[in-house]
Amino acid sequence: MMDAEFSTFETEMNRGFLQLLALVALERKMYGYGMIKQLELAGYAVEENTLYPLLRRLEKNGWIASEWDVSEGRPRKFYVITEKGKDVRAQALKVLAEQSETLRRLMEVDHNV
Amino acid sequence: MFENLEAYLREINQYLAVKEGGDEILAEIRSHILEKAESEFGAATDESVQKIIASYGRPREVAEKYLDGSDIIAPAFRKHLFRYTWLLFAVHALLTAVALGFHTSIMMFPFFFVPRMPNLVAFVYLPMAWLADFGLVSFVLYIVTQKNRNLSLPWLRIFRARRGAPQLKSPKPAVLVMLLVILAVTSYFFLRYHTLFFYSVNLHAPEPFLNPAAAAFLSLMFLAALLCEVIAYAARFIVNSAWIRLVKNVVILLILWVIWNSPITVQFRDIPGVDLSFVGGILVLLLVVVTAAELLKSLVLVIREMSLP
Repeated sequence: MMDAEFSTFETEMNRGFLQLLALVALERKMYGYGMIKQLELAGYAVEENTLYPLLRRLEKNGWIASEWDVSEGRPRKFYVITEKGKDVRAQALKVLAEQSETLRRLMEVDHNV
Repeated sequence: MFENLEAYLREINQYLAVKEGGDEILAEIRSHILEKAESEFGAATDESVQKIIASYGRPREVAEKYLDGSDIIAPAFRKHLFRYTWLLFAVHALLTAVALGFHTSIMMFPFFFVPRMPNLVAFVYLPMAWLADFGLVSFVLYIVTQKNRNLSLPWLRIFRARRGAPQLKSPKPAVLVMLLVILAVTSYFFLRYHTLFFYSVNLHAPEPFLNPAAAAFLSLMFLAALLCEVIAYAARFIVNSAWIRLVKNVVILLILWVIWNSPITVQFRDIPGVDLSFVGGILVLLLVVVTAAELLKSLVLVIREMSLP
């Protein structure tokens, strides 16, 4: 029961975080499978059926752009961050830093945590 | 071409309700599965592709992830869905009653069509009408959700129940006693003189002013309405529900309908030449308007009652 509850909690936490990770990773042009591998190397496992819908939403928002590349035989859809996406990323990183700082200060007050 | 992969993509496509880019989504999943199969198993074969498909997720779940935030009907409208449906159905049921009463069909484009039908058929017609109303309301809320899900529906505020607040005043014993006294007195007069309409209420020499047939008929109808009022008021001591008020108003409307359709000529008892049907008709119409207004009020209360948890 506890595991299931935490799983929901973790999913909610990851929802925004994964968007930020994608915006950071897509500083460089990348396709979905390559991105999953890169995130794994960085220590973050993401399911493919979660990443692709997320990329679609980011593209719909105009934060990333995509194009199909068929030069290597297999068609691959490459993504890259847009200028609008960079602005969003900067704001999101600021929010994340503020949240981390808030959490740190709170934990300093209560040493039991 | 891997048949298992294409079958998997076809199944995803069945559930994939996106406006555009559906083919692109499927192409991206296809590309991903083939690349992963090659990367993890050395080559894309039926077996390796099948293993990757199994780990990718069930088609329905995969498709649902692309629908995030695109509800068919916004969750906030869930209560509106049933409120609207019951309201529409109340009108539908009322029109059905009128159509049955007048043996006619009623059409109010584009929402209502009540065909001329035998009374028994109404028992089949009304459940179907409810489903049609539910469908119509669902369709409207679907359009609202897709176009502007933040739209507020202000006119529904009149149906918003105030939680905890009593919907109907509690019945008072004194009023019931008064109603019973009036019923007893009028019944006495009717049984004794066969009319309730007098020039003067002189017990020794009463002077009725309507022709006997009309006087008896109208008195009987008045007593029936009064009896209905007394029973409804008494019933509220057991269950103080707006439904009682609703049913009472429907019955009174039916009584008025019987009066309206009566072939009896209404005249002065002592001046037979003067026809009072026109004046009587206006009076009945006024009563119909007042009762219909009461009926609408009770409908609002009934809907409020139903919307309370």
